[in-house]
Amino acid sequence: MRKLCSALALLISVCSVAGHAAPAGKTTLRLSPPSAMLIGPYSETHLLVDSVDATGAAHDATATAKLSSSDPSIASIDADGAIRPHKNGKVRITAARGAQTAAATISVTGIRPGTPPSFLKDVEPVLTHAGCNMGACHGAAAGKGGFRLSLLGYDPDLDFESITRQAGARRIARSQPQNSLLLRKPTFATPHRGGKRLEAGSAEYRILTDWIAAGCPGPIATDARVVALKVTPEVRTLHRGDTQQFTVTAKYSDGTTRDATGETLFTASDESTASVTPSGLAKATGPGEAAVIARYQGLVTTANVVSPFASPLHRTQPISKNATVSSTIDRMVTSRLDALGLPLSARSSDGDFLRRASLDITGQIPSPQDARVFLNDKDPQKRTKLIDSLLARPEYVDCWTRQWADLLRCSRSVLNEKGMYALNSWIHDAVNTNMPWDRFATEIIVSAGDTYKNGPANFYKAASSPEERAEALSQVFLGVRISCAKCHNHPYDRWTQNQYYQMAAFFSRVSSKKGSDKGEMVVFASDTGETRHPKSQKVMAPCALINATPLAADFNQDRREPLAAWVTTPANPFFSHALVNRVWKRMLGRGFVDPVDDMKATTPPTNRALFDYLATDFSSHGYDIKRLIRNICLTDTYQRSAEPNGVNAGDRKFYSHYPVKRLEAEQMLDALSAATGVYEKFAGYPTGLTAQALPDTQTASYFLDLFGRPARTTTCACERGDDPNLSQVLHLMNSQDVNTRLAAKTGRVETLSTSKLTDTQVIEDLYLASYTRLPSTAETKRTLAAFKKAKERRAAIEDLSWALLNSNEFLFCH
Amino acid sequence: MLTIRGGGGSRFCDGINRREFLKIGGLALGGLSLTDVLQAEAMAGVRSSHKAIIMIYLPGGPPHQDMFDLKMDAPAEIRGEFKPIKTNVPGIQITEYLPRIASMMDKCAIIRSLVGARDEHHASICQSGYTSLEVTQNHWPSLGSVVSKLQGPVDRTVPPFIGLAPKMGHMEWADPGTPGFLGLAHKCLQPDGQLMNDMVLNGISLDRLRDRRSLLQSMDRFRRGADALEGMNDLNQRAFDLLTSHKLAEALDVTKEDPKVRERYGKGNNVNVDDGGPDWNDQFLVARRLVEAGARCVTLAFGRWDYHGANFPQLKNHLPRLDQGVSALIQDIYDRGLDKDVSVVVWGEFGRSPRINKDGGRDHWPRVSCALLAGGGMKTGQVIGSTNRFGEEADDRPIHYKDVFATLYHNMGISVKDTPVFDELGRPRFLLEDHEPIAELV
Repeated sequence: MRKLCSALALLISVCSVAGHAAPAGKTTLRLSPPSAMLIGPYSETHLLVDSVDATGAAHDATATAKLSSSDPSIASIDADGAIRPHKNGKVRITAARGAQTAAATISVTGIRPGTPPSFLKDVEPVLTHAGCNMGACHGAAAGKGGFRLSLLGYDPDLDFESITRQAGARRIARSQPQNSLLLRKPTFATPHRGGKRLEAGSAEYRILTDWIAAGCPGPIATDARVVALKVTPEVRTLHRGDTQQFTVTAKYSDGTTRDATGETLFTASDESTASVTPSGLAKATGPGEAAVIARYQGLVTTANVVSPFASPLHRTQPISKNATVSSTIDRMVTSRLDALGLPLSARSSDGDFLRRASLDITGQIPSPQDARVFLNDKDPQKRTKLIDSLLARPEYVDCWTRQWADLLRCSRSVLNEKGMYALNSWIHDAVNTNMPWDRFATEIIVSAGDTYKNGPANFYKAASSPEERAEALSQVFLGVRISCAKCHNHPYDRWTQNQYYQMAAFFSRVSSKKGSDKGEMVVFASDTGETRHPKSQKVMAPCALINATPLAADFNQDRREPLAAWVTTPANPFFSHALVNRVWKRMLGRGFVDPVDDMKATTPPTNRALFDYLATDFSSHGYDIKRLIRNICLTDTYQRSAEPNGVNAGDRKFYSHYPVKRLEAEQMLDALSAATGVYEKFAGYPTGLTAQALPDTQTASYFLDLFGRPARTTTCACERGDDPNLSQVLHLMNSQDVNTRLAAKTGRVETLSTSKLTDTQVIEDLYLASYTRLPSTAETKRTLAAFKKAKERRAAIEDLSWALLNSNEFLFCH
Repeated sequence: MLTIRGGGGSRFCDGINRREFLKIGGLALGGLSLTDVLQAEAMAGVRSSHKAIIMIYLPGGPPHQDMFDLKMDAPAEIRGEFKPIKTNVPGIQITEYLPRIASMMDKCAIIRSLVGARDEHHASICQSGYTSLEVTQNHWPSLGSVVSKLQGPVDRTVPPFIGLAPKMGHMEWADPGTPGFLGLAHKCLQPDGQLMNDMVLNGISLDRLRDRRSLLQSMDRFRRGADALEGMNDLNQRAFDLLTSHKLAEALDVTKEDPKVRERYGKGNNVNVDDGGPDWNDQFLVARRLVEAGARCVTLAFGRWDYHGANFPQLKNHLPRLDQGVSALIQDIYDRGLDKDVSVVVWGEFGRSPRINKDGGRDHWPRVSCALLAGGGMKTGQVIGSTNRFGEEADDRPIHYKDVFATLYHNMGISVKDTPVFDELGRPRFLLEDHEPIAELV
C-alpha cells in the first residue's frame, strides 16, 4: 500500500492540480458552536471557524484562525487545537484571523479532585481510537498475541476482564501505572507488533494512566451510553483542494453531550471525491459527492461533502400540472445535476435506445428485421410503444426470472432437480403475472409444504438455520447485510448483535422433515424453538430491525406472519427502497446505493430525494414492478445517450448520461448467438433455448462460467462476477467457440456470403445484427475498402463479423 | 489553529485496495488511462523483483517414514525395508532411495513434524493450506490465486499462476489450486484446459489475426469515456500480445531446452500412474522454464503415492524418478542464481501409518507427515521438528501446513498477517489465521 501511495504521489507531482481561488468580497468570521460545556476533567471540545462570504456560503477557516482563551487557568487551548478544562468556571474563546474576530463561551463544570476516568466514557474510546480493538489487531475474534478485545469496544465487560484480569493481571501495574503493559506496549516502550499507537504524555495517555492510578474502576452498567452522534457541518460544498474540519458531538442517554471529535474514527465513502484524515480534516479530491463517515462507540453517522464538477447550473424546470412519475424523476435528476454543474447528454439515437431497452428489459439484442422496422417507424410514440411491447414479451419473463432466481439461490446443487424446477417455475409464474412484490416476499416468508411441489418453500432449503434465513431475508428483500452482526455489532452500520439474533428468532420455529421423495423437504411452522444470544444465552424475542417492538412472549402463532407483515408494510423503508435500488441499477448501471444489497446507514444515496420518491411511489402503487420499469424507461434520463457531453464524462453516479454496462454472461452468449445466427445447444435442453432461460446455473457452459455466471450459493448480487478479465477477451478473440460460429454452414456469415446481397447490404446487415444500427458512411466506406483488399469474400465477411463481436460497442450495453 | 490529534490508524482496516486506487488515479488525475497508472506504478517500484514458487504435490500421501524420517529403532513391522544414508549435511539421514537429494541436503530443509492434515485424498491442503471442507465452506483461495491477485503478472504474456496437473482418475488429486472467492480471473492456466486452447492460434494465421485487429481498432465509437471501456482496451492489447507472443508456448515446450539438461531431469513418462498423476519428470523442467518466463506460482502433481499394498516395491520404482527430477530442479535453480527467488516444496496430503499392513502397505496417517523445501532464500541444510519413536506423532515443534504457507507467502514478499484479501462481499479476510512463517527457515 505504501508503494501504491508513493505511485499516487508521483502522479500528483506530474499533474498540476488546479487551485481554487479564495472567495472574494466581504467576509465575516464565525465561531461555532457559540457556546459549549466542558463537563469533567477528561472532556475536551473543538470549535470550528468559518469564514462566511457575502452570499452566505461558509468556508473553513479553522486551520488559519488563531484561538485564545480569556482565562487559560479555567480552559486552555492545547497544541493539538483541543480546548481542555482545568477548573470550574466560564471563559471566552476568541478566534482571530487578520482583523476579523469571533467569539464563543465555554463553561467548565464537574471538575472535582479525585474523579477517575470512566471505563465506558473515557477509556474505551481511547482504546478504539488508538486502534487497539480494530479487526486486524486485538479486536480479531481470537485477539492478537494472546490479548483479546471486543471489536471496536462493543463488549466493555469482556474488555475490562481482558485488561485487568487475564494474563495473570500483568497488563496493569497499579502501583506504577506508567509501567503497565497497557501503556508500555502502545507507546512502544516495550516491543509491540502493532507498532506505536499512543504518544506518552498525550491526553489519551493521561486518561489511561489516571484510570490505572485510580484502581481501574470497571464499567458501571448504569453509566450513560452514547445514543446519537452529530457531525458538524452536516453538508459542505468544497472545490477540489479545499479542506474542511469536521467535529463530532455525542449525545448520551442521560441527555448530556460531549465533543467526541478527538476519539472518533473518520473515513470517507469515496476517496476519489473526498479524503479525510484520522482527525476529521476532509479534503475535496475530485468532483462528486462523498460521505465523511464518523464512528464513535458503536455508532455511525455521516456528513456530506459536495464537490461540483463545474459552476452550478440554473436550468428552468417548470413543475407541470400534468407531471408524471417519469417527468418527476427527470426533474429530480436534473436538479441534482444542476447543483453539481453537470450538463446533460443528448437524447440517444433510436438504434441505441432499441438495443439498450431490449437488453435491459428482455436480456436480448433485437434482430436486424426488428431493428429495421423500429428505425423506419415514423410514429413519435414509438419508444413508448416499444417499451410496452418489450414488457409483454416472453423474454422479459425469462430475463427477470433469472435475476430473482440468482438471489433466491435456485440451483439443483442444493434444492435437487425437482426443488429447483419447482422454485424456478414459481418465480416464472410470478414474473409472468407481474405478482406484486409484497406478495412475492410474503409467499416466500410464510411458505410451507413440500419443496418439490411448493416453489417458495425452497427458500428454507437454500438457507437452513434461523441465522442464515435472517441473513438471506435481510439481504434479498431489505437490501441490508446483517451478517457482520452475527459475531459482534456491525462495525460500519447500525446493527447490533442483539438485533441479529432477534431477527433470527423469527425463524426459530420453522421446522422441516423429510418428504416422501428423495431429497424432498417439508417445511412447517412448529410451536417450539428459540434463538439464544450466543454469549448471554438469553432467549431472544423476535423483533424486526426498525420501527418495531418485540413479539410478546405469549405469541403462539407462526412468527413469520408478523415478520412478513413488517417486511411489506409501507412503514418499513427498506423493502421498497431495496427493490427500487435493484431495478434502478439494472436500468441505469448504478444503484442509488451501491452495492445494491448493502444499504448502510453510512452510504449516502446518489440522489436521496429521488430514491425516496420512487420507493414511496412503488409502495403506494401496489408494488408493481412492470410499472416501475416502464416509468424509468420513459424518462429522458434513461433515454439519454451514453456519449458524454463535456465535463459529464466524469460523472459515474448522477445519471447525466446513460452508463455503458458490460453485458452479463447470459446476455453476452445470447447476443453472440443472435448476432452470428448460430445458436447454443445446452445439454438436456433444446437448441435455441437462450442462456437466460436456463432454470439454474448448473448446466455446463465454459462460456457462461468464464463470463461470471454465479454459482447461486449466496444471496449476494455480487456473486455474479462483473470484472472483465484476460481469459474472456482471449475467448472472444480466438476460441474455437467463436471461430466455429463464424465458419458455420448455417450461420449469418454463411447466409450473407452465399446471398446475392451487395457488399454494402452485407455490411449493413452485420451492423444491424451486432450493433442494432446502420453503419455510418465512413464506416461503410472503410469496410468496403477492406472487402476489396480481401482475397476471398467469405473471409472478409468473417473478419468483419469477428471485429464487430470483439468491439466494445457489441460487448457493452450503451 | 486547530489540528485535532490523529494517529489513530483507523485506515488500517479500510485501506484502499488496488482497484480503488486505479479508479482514483483515473478520476482525480485528469483521466489517466490504466496503462499510465501501471507505468506510474512501475516507476514507483511497485513491481517487486520476481519471486516464485514451484509446488510439487505427491498425490496420495507419501510415506514420511520411508523417505525423510526413517525409524531404525522401531520393530520390523514398523521400520520397513529401507536403510538410511548419510547426506552432505552431517547428522541428517534420509532414505537410500533418494541419494541425489541426499547429496544436496545443504540446499534443502526437511520438515518431519508436519501436522494439520485431514484424512482425505485431496490436493486442497497442499495448494491452499486449507482442507477441502474449509475451501468448500469459506471459498479460501489457493496460494497461486492469492499471488495472482496480490502481485499480478510479471510478464504481460505469461499468466502468474499455472497449474500443470493433468486430469486424473481421482480428480481431487488433480486440483491445481482453486481461486475461491477471488474469482475466475485468478484461476490458474492449465495447459490442457480451455484457456490454453484459447491462447494458441487456431485455424487462422497470424497475418489474418493482425488484419482482424486493425479492423477492430478502426471501430472506435466506444473506446473511451468510461473506466470499463479503457480497461477493455488494455485487456485487448494484452490478449493480442499473448496471441502473438511465443513466450508461454516456448516455456511449455521442453524440446527447446538443451537435450543434456532434459536428460539430467529424466524425461519420465506422461502417462498417469493408475488414477493418480504421471511420473513425468519433464514437468519439473517445464516449471522452471515457466518461472523464468514470468510465472509466479507453478503447481504440479507427480506420481501416485497411495500405497496401501506393496509399499516398498512401488517406492523402489518411483522414488528414484522423484529423486532425479527434484534434485535436477534444485541444482538448476542454484546454477541459474534463482535460489533466493524461487521456493520449491515437495509434499503430499498426509503421512502413512507406522505399522505395515498385511499387504505390505501403509495406510493413511493424517496425524503427521513430512515436507521437503528448497530455495526461496530459506535457511537450508537443516531438519525441523521430529516425530516419536515410531513416527506416529510430532514430538517437538509441530509445524502446520499453514505455517509452511505463511513461509511461502513470506518468501513471495507477502505478510499474510497484515495483508487482507477481499472476498466477494468486500470483507477483508486474513489468510491462515495468524500462522507465522517458520522461524527456523526465514
